[in-house]
Amino acid sequence: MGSMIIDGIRVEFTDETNVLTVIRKAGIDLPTLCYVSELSVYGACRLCTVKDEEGRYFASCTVRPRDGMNIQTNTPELRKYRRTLLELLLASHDRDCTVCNKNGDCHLQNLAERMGVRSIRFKSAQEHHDVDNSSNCIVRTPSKCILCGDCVRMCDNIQAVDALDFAGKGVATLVTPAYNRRLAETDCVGCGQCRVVCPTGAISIKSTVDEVWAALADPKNKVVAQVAPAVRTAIGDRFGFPAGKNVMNRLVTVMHRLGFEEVYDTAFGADLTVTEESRELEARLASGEKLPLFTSCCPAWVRFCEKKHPEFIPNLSTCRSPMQMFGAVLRAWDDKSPDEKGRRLVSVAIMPCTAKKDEILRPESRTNGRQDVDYVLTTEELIGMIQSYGLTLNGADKDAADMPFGITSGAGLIFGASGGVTEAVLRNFIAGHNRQEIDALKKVGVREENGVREFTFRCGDRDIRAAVVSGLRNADMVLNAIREGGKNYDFVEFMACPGGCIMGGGQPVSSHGNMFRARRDSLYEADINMQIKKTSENPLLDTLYATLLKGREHELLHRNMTGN
Amino acid sequence: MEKSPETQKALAVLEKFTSDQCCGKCISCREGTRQMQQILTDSPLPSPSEEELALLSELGTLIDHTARCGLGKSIARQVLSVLEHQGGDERVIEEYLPGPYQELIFFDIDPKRCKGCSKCSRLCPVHAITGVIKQPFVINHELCIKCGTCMMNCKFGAISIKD
Ligand code: SF4
Ligand code: SF4
Ligand code: SF4
Ligand code: SF4
Ligand code: SF4
Ligand code: SF4
Ligand code: FES
Repeated sequence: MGSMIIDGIRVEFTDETNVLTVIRKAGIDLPTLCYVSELSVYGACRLCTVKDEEGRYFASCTVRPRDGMNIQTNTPELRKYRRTLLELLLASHDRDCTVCNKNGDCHLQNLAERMGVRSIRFKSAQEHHDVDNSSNCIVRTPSKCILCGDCVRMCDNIQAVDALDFAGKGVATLVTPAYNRRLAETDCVGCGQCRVVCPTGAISIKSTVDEVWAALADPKNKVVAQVAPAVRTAIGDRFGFPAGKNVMNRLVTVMHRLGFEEVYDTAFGADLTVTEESRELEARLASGEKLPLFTSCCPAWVRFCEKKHPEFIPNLSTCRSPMQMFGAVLRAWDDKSPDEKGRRLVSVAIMPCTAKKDEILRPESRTNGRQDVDYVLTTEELIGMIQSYGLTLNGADKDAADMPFGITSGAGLIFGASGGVTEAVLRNFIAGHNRQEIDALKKVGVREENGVREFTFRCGDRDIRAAVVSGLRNADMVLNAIREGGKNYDFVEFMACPGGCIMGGGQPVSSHGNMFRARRDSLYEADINMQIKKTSENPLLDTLYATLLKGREHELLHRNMTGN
Repeated sequence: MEKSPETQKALAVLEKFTSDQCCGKCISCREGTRQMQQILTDSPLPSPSEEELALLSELGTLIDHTARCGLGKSIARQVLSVLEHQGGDERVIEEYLPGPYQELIFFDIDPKRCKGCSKCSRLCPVHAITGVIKQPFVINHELCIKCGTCMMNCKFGAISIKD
């Protein structure tokens, strides 16, 4: 608590942890390349340097606000320093913007423009480093790296994976996996959160756009797509829609124009997952075995559990993720009623997620020896396709997702936000369409914002003890507490990305701050508009279970660990 | 052309610093000292031209005012002081005086790498480092002024900056 003077204006502060936050609160968007509020402070870029009334300089991100401070943020000298710092950085940067994956959307490029860097007075000190293409999810291009350390701290502070680190010192410093290994040889779980915070093109999404274009162009293919709930609340960012705006209907039209013959809603897959997972929870509660039940729809979380806490593998739900269930059903449907022109089904999934790119390649993501989903495209990649075609979402007509899988429940939609799976599963434990209870469930804590929330929900005559966890550091903490006997739950939802899939590693990163609330509220809004609240009320599911899925529930909807 | 003794000295300081002492974590020091060294190396004259000196001094001041720890700051001052007094007496280099800020980073000794040689403890200007020979030494963060001397001089790379 206190106040300080910033450029002659008095600014009050309360619980801000550093001077930079107070400066930003005062409306001055000081340029930075190494500050991410959720991460520890590192002080690498020095762009946030300010000056106090005694002429002392300090990096505002590293200093706590103190009552009575008097600082200047924009003296001619500070402005010159910022420009020179960027010049220095760019002198050792592979600044071939025109062929960079980050072109047009790059924080470094943007700052160079904002600070008016027009020439570089220093000799180029660029060095060549090999691109690391080994991961199925992300690509590292070290010659674009400015050593801000954001990815290192993200992977460690928030994700507890610690796959990236600094190596070497002085001008030979590099950010790389330890011992110079390739990403695929580390514990990286593919969450893509490092890419979300990277201010440059040094970490990018492993793209399969070219493969999908080729598939679309081949007349022997029938290309269909499913779109995850989280995508519709984020893709509008790049087309000027308000934050969080649900643009699913326009997206369906535009995807048809791109050549996707059918566009389905992954929320239907989520309905299947919720149904199966509710049954699994029922069964485990009855037998008292393998509790707590852990969700398994986030592939980055599943990898984390396998690599860091293998003793908990039996607790993982055997359910496939919504994407994989839907993928398997689409194949089975195609086998049953093959295309009349004899074309091959190519199944594409549009996801907010980089880890899903790895999930489709796992052995248990195959049915009868065939890969269920052929390609995963992230929201970012789909944006690229739409733009390269010359289309836009803005003028697009609206259309509904295609049948026969077009009927979904609200429960399937909220999957995209952390807490959504839990809420969806627990809705099935409420008897009948009991509005009071459905509303009461919203308020037990499942919709709070913290990374670990726990609550007890009373259904009928029993209490279900649940926890909702997002961020893998939080997951690590909760698993340790369970192991040590400090915590007892029946059901725990884990999502790798803080806030859930709406904040996934393949989503557009906005320069307008954190999009979490806007995207989450948009999904809850979509749920309100659905007549069908519970997956058990979805009439399409009954039909499907009575026909296509009859006797094949396990084969199509659960993880087949044999790889056949 | 043969470089002047001052230029040679400045280059030697920079060379040692960039290759061995700089931790490489902050831009101003890592890239700034690299470019200072480059400008001196590339200069065709015995001592830098007026224009070159202007750029060197711009970089030196930048590092002095924005580097993350005392190490970069004192190297920048040292080099500037040598260069600006070509042919004259060697000026006494201004000691690094800590600002009252820089609160959120600190120097730390990795007990696994520290061999307990006591060199850092002997060099620390404020006697912030204590320990027993052949056992890991410890920095008292209350006393430390974040000058970087210990990190620069540790032969085992046991001292680093933490956030
Ligand atoms: S990372 Fe940014 S600044 Fe660097 S080449 Fe790519 S777009 Fe340009
Ligand atoms: S993808 Fe996730 S786990 Fe892998 S390096 Fe990046 S942050 Fe770490
Ligand atoms: S890869 Fe990106 S986030 Fe990581 S240090 Fe380099 S520039 Fe920063
Ligand atoms: S939380 Fe969602 S977006 Fe993030 S890794 Fe898991 S499934 Fe992917
Ligand atoms: S932290 Fe200190 S030694 Fe490291 S690069 Fe910055 S000024 Fe130089
Ligand atoms: S940084 Fe300087 S003051 Fe701090 S312990 Fe090392 S030598 Fe002593
Ligand atoms: S934001 Fe403060 S040093 Fe980078």
